[in-house]
Amino acid sequence: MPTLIPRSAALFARLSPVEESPLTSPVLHTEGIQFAYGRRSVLRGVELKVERGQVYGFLGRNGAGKTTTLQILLGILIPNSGIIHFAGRSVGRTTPGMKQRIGYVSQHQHFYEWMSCHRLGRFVAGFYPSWDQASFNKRLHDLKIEPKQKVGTLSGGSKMKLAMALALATQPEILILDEPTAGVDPIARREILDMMRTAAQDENRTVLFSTHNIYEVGQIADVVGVLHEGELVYQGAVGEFVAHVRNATGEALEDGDLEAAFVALVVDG
Amino acid sequence: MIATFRSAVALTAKELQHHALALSFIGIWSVLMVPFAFVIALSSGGTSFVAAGTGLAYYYGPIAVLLIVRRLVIQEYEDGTIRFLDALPAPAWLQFLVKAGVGWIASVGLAWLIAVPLLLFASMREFVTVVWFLQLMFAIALYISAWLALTFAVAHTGRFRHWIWMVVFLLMGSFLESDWQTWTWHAALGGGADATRHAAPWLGFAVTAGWAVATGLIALFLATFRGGSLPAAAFKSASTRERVNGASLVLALYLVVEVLPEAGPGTLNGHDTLPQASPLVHHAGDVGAWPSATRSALHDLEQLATLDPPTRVVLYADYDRPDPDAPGPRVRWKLWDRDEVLVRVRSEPTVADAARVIDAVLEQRSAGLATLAADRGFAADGLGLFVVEPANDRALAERRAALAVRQGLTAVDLEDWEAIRGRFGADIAAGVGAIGLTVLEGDALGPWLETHLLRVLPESGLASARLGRVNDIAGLTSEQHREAWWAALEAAADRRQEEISVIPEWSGEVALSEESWSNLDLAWWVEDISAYDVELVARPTDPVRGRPMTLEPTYRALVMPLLGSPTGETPTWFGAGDRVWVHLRTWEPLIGGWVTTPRTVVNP
Repeated sequence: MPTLIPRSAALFARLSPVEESPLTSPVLHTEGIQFAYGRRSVLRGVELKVERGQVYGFLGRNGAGKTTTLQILLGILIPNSGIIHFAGRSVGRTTPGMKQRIGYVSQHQHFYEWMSCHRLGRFVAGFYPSWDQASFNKRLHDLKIEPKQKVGTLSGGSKMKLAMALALATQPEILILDEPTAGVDPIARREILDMMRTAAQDENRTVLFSTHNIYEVGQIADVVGVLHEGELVYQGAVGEFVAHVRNATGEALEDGDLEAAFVALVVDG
Repeated sequence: MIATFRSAVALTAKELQHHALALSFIGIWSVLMVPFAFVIALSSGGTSFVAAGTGLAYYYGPIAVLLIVRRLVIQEYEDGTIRFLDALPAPAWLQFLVKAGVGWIASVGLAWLIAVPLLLFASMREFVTVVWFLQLMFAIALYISAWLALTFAVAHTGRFRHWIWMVVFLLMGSFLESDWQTWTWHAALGGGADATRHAAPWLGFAVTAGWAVATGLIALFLATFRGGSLPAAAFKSASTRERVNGASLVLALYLVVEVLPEAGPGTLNGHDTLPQASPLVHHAGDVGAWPSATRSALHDLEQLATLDPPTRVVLYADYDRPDPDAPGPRVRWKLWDRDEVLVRVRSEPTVADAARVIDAVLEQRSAGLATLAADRGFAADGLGLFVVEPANDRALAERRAALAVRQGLTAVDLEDWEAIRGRFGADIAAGVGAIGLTVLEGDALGPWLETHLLRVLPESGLASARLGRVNDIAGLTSEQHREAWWAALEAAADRRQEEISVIPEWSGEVALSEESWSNLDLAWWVEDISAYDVELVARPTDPVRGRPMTLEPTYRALVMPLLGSPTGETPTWFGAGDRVWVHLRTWEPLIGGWVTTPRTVVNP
């Protein structure tokens, strides 16, 4: 059963009440995460539940708070309130020890451009006891990235693939990606999605990725969470997303039309 | 713990590799500035190498700090790479500490890179002891640390940093021009390095260290508060033009506020703090070669004695020499500063040599001695005491008692000497050879007594300009006030007798201390002992720290051939195996101030 979370009583009065999570033993679970930049509230009580081995698509419009949420999960930002449950620990802020078990690919790559790809790998390896150099080398080879090439000379898509290779070489329990396919060409996009799929299916890693491309969610995600204006307004199986939005909003939505359901939920809803 | 250590190693390696090239350039630049400061120090009469070395570190160090912190911190935020770092499992405090550590090593290293060569040169020329050298290095490190901590704190204020620097520099400019600089982070070096020769500026160290700790904690807070979100919010993307403008503004403010007004380390004039009195030890070589060497050396000293205002040369006995255990044979001289030069002559000859020395003295002075001893006025005042005596004071006292020599007036001639030998034998005679002239309190020396001196002493022996001047007035005063003088003399004689009776050196129980000679006030002539003999091996001693001062062979071999004599136009001071350059500091009553005059004593 999906979880449909009201954004506010007025706005989502027609939606079904919050249901208890059907997910068991989530590897990552947040409770009541709130965050504000000064007086501007960005996140209002976000409660993510990501189960082990899932591919979780984190959907939302630009500015919905997806990146902020992911940066809180990474410990880059500290929430004003809320609890993060990860790998059996409950903390107010992600610790460095927890971060060592998370692979992260940010939306924009800010690597040291003077480093070669190989040197960058050595640098990152210093922070992760679980670093797999062979895996990193193989991925660079598979992605046709020259290890000696300076990072600054790579294209945007190659940097994103390099970031994927770095994140996966840390052997993470959960892979968190912030709009990994934004701004890359279709071929690179496919390679990145394949890597995400492989990580989940073949390597049994949990994948949490944010996007505003609903088709990618449909392609590879098991679960989708919809964030709108700082509130998680839907969290559930991808296959049930359309039906639930249709039931909740009364919109005439065709089966499989995720885009229409998303629009209906966050705009019309 | 291991993970933290691994992270620290990775971060450190990254920082070193990232900034190695830039730091190398800054290092080369720094090294290139050393000859510049070297030339400045040499071409300026008032700048010592110590002042130049620490001054360069004082002015240039903060600029290097600004450049280094810009690379370590600001560039990280402006390029966005801080986001990559933040995503790694390394806590913000660890990132801060690694950057601060690398920045500290680089900044202090660069400052030392500038200061060390000049301080090493200074150690060859300006008597920089190891302890003082280490103290200066510590002061530089403290000063740079405070700047680094402050710069780290300001750097984390992002786009507000230029305004903050403006306020800081303006406040600093106000403080540095007043006594308040003793309470800024400049305190460790602000008073001038040369001034710390005599005493470490502990309060300055504490103040600077306090600034370093306080601003360092502020920087740590700014960098780590809520995961470093404060600087992340404070930085905004700026164009290259804006960055250059901002950096230029900061640099220009620094130069205008701190460098141009020369509000830095004192006046850069270190000469006043250098030793003005250098005890010179002249080791005697071949005893047989003494006379000629002594004559030459004393000739030089006589030149010193004829400074105007007169620098007086006084011989005094051996028994208060500061280093009684030093190996002999030798002759010791001691040059005192101010308006007198006190020459100590001591010899440890054989008995035969001693007898020869005594003979030589008595030959020249016997007439004068006899006259002095017979002169009531001179004797009653107790001034002008010739002593040829054993080094042992107790023996001297016993000898006096045996010879029934009146206290306060001891003129020992060859007969006395023979009496001593007859009484004490060779043991006492072995220590004989000291030649001394003791002159008691100078304020007792009035015109009437000087007149007496003129009468009883041969004029050829008066090398002192002071006595020469006395000669001019003698004829008038002695005739006009003769009776009055006698009346005063009778009264003074009684008083003097009481005083003399309690003077320790006559008691034979307490050796004359060095301080007892600080008020000597009688010029004497050096010809008296010009027949004696020494070989000069100059080895000045730092009077402040009491350690020998030497001219390094490296400096002599490398620098002096290029620059010529260090005693040229620039007053400098050296000690060497064959030459000694000294500064004499004399009081000039006409200008009401001290006059420093370089003199050279050459080893014959």
